[in-house]
Amino acid sequence: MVLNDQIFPSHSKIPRPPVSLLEFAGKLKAAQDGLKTSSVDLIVKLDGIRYYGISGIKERIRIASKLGVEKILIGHLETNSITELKNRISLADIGLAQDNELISRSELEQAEPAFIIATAASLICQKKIGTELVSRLEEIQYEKI
Amino acid sequence: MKKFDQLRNQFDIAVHTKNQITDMIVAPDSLSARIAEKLGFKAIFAAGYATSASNLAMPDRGIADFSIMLNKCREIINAVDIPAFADADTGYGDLDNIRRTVRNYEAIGAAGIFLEDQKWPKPCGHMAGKSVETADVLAEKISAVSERKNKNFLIMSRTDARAVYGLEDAINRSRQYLAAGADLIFIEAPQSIDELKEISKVFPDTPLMANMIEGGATPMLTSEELCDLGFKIVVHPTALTYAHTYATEQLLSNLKEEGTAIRQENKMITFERFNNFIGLNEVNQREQQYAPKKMEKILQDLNIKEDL
Repeated sequence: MVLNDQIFPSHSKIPRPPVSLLEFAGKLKAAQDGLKTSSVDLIVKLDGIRYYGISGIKERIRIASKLGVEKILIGHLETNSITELKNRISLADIGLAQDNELISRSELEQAEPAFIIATAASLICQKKIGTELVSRLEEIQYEKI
Repeated sequence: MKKFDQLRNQFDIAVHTKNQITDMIVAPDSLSARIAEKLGFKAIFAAGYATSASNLAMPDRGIADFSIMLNKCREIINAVDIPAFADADTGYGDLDNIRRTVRNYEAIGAAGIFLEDQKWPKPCGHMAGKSVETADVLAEKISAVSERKNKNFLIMSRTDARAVYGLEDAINRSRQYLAAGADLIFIEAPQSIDELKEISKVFPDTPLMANMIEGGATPMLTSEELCDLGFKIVVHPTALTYAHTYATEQLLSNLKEEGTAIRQENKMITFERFNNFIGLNEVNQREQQYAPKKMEKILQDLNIKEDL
């Protein structure tokens, strides 16, 4: 289960501002306490790099760790921020989300994170296939007419 | 150990305890399940007759599909802290479907499921016009899921052959299902106390379930009487659905006639009592438990100042 730290309702393309650190801690603790099965892992997604910077990411990772949430995903990265992130934080145990079109999957791969969740690439691919399918169906319809 | 595993163990132990019967009410919805839990019921059943009625307003004729049934069970499980057992009908398809059905019920935290040998789409076990597959069909399904993820997730075999081929055939089928790996046995719709006794005599070491349906084919006995006969589980599949329907019909008739429900208030729970019952205080307390003020200490321990 991925829980992001944006103010609700969260946005995919341009992230909303993050919740405060206290709210962040409360949400993580409530989620941890609410887990009822060992088959679910809680992943916290930090979406506010443009608001709280790398130092904010470090703070939130420390809070998450203190609350027993070890799986971290960082989202809403851009080409400029990925280099600085890689230089200042070990990404060996951290995942990166390719959730916008400002950064490519290959750029994230170069940072050698623990894992990548490429939602933006999936959406683009899905849209492309859908568009092609609709075009083809329209062609067939036209041929019939 | 997490909650689901504990509840499965609890159910497993209960149905294997001598001289004890587990009384399960079929809950048409989460609210009913919560009421049953508060009144001391030790397990809940999510089943087709009540779900078809509460979700679709339709009869139990195999119309409520896998996703409807699974979702109903999940809602009930999430509402209570007692084991919930599920009616998985025929398992919804071939062997791959059955495996998927079992995996899904395990994942949502059910204590177990029953799988039956009727032909799909199938009616309620006490309705006329039933037909059953050959015994090999269900035996194969049970074999296919005997290697489930959680050993304490129990599989009950259900046969509807009594109404079609008689009690002897139903007993023989149940023997085959037991050999295939069923943990619990349910022979649907025995027609007399003697038949209930016969079933109990044939399976002395396997937990048996009896189905007490108002107006059904089986004589209505109390839980204690069924326990004395050797049954370990009794299920009441229709009582709440019939009671809800009756109460709704009575109240709405009156409301339509009088234009107000004020004279029916003596038949309702009060605003305050309902809010207490439904857990409003607990939700409010939980909100406080995770409120920013309570989280300050965590930040203090980490020497982090809240300045956002």
